[in-house]
Formats: sequence, structure tokens, C-alpha cells
Amino acid sequence: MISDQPAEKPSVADDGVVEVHTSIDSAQLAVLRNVAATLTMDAGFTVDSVEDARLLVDEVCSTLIRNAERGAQLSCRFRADDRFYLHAQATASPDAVVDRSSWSWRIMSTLADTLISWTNANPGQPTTLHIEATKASDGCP
Amino acid sequence: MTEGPDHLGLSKQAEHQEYAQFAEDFHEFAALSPENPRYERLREKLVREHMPLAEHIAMRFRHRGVQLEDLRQVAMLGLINAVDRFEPDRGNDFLAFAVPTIMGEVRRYFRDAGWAMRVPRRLQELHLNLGKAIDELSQRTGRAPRADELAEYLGIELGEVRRGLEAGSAYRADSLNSPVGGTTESDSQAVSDTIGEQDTNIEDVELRETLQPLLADLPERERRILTLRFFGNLTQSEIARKIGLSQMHVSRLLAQSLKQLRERIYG
Repeated sequence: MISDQPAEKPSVADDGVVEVHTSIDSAQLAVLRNVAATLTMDAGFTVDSVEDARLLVDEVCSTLIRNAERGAQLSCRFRADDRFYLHAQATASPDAVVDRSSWSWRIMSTLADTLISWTNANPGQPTTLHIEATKASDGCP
Repeated sequence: MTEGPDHLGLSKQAEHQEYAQFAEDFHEFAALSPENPRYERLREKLVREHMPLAEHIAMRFRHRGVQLEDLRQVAMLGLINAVDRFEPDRGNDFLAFAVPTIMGEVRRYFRDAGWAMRVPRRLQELHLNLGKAIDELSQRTGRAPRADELAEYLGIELGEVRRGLEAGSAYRADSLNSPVGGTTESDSQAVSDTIGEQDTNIEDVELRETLQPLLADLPERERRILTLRFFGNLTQSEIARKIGLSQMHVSRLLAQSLKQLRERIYG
């Protein structure tokens, strides 16, 4: 993958990736949840982990939606093999940050095995807020 | 779907004539004040005489995963509402008013009970069977099953499992629109007690201050599930076993509670 902004390159590999771009609208959450559920179910995740993946998508995307700029787009990359990968991003205000002591973070970090969030601010370009999470198929890290 | 009496499959003419005799009663009833002793008597008569209508509507909705007796009661409630609210001076006949009113009551009942009317009965049954299978399998193996294990256990195709579980999300999407329901458990533990039980690790004062009152507003069962998942780090299946609900039920309550908290914290 060609990228001149290494930090923006998500660690989600390209094989079997499903990408969904939606408007900033909580009504789209159902679609995003279902993508996660279908992928994880087919990848042989336990029902517990499938449901956790759903909740995780809900929380990650709600967090981005809250922080997103007006008219922004929410972009999600999903993949599931022995782990579920989610990378989501949206254009946000330059001071946007996901608070590590928030309830949201508590939920996401409980549901996911790994969780990171960062912002990408390049001069002259809109700031993007990113959240990336992974989760094992059997619920054990 | 039109909801006129014609669609009830009744013999339309006969039905209308049969009920037409009550037109005068309705006029009289509408003019009476509730304090008048005749009011109750007339109301009772009108409800009693139209009971076959409520019964008929209840029968139409049977075999949809709820008890016929419950349906009858809900339809009766709809009928009583219709009798109370009918305005004969507006020129409509009672049937044209009562049928949609009773159907509306039954629909609301289904909505509150969780099942969207659009989920076919076969899928609902599949969904219920999956719920049982999930609990039986996790009982046996000590962990939540995968979709392929469910397919093998129930002797159905993997695609069926997926559709059955997806029927569950339709169910959930609907129940998400209603507020989190109360609990029947009479567990009166204080929030601090429940949370204390789990070692919440909420060191952050601000989060604790925000969260405590919101958790306190949740019904005890929902609060307990949330606490066990997010502070006790138990899986959904473990929580299900601990509090005696199905994994699917825990999953649904968890999604509802999280949505409710999200709306209240972040607006």
C-alpha cells in the first residue's frame, strides 16, 4: 500500500477487508453492526464474540460520530479471520480526542483485546480521528 | 394493510347488521356522564356485546409466539378503549372505528413484547431454538458456541443459523426503540453495593460521578448485567448462567442499556 503518511496506514491487512463509508448518522450503525456480525459469524467466532464485535462497532462508531465534523464521512474497515479487526475514521475538529477515562473508552477497551486511538493532523489538511480495535474469535486475547 | 372490517373475513353484511342495533346505545352512552349509574351498565353491555369482535382479532394474531390468552386480554383492552373513545356523532359506525383501534392495541403489544410483526413465525421459532441451543451448548462445553456448532447441533444449514441469529437483530432493533423495561426481580441492592461487588476500578472521579446516577436509573437486572460485563469482565454466556437468563437475552439487555447510557451521557 502506498502511503506518504505512515501513521494513517491502518494495520488492518488488505486481504478480505470490507470497507464501508457512510454519512455521519447513527441510523447507519445498524448496517455497520451487521457487517461485523456477518464477518465474525462466518469466521467461526463464538456467539459471545460475535455480539461483542457488534457492541464494539456500535461504540467505536458512535464515538467517531460524536466527534466528527459536520458533513464528514465515517469510514470503516473490517476484517475477520482468527481475529476481528476494525479501523474506523472520520474528519474531526483539530482538538478532537478520545478521552481514556471516559465511559466509552471503558466499554471499548473491555470489548476489544487491543485498542488504540489517534488523530492525524497535517498542515492544510483536515484532521482525522482514528480508532482501531481487534478482538480474538473465542473471546480470549 | 387496510384495517377495515372487510378484512376480518367476517360475513360483512351480517356483521354490520348484527352490530347496527347498538347505534342507539352508543349515542346514549356518549351523552352520559361517567357519574351517571347508567354509564357503567351501558359501557359493560357495549363491551360485552362486541366481545366476539375482539376475540376474532385476537385469533387472527395467534401463532405468532405469544399466548392466545394474552392476545385476548390485549384485544379486550383495545375494545374497551374503542367503546370509551367512539364518537357516534361523527357519522362513522362503531366497527370502522373499533377494528383499527383494537388492531393498534395488539400491534403495540407485539412491539412492546419485542417481536416485529414482520418477522415470520418460522424465523421466530428458529431464533428461539437457537437461543436454547446456545445455552445448552455453552452449558456442555463451558464456552459460547460458534455458528457452525449450532448448525450441527440443530441439524440445520449454516445459512439458517445466520438467518435465525439475524432475526434476533430485527427483534433487537425494535426493542431498542422502547425504553429499557423494568425488572421482575425484587433485588433491592443499592448501586454502590452492586458495583462494590465487582471492584469497578472507576478511579476517575468525573466518570464515577457521571456514571453512578445513570446506573442507578437502570433497572436492577440491567445494571447487574452491565456491571458484570464491564467491571467484572464476565462474558455474556457467563453472565447468562450467573443470573439465569439466556445468552441472547443478556445480549439484548446489554445492547439496550449501552444505548440508553450513551444517549444520556452524550446526548
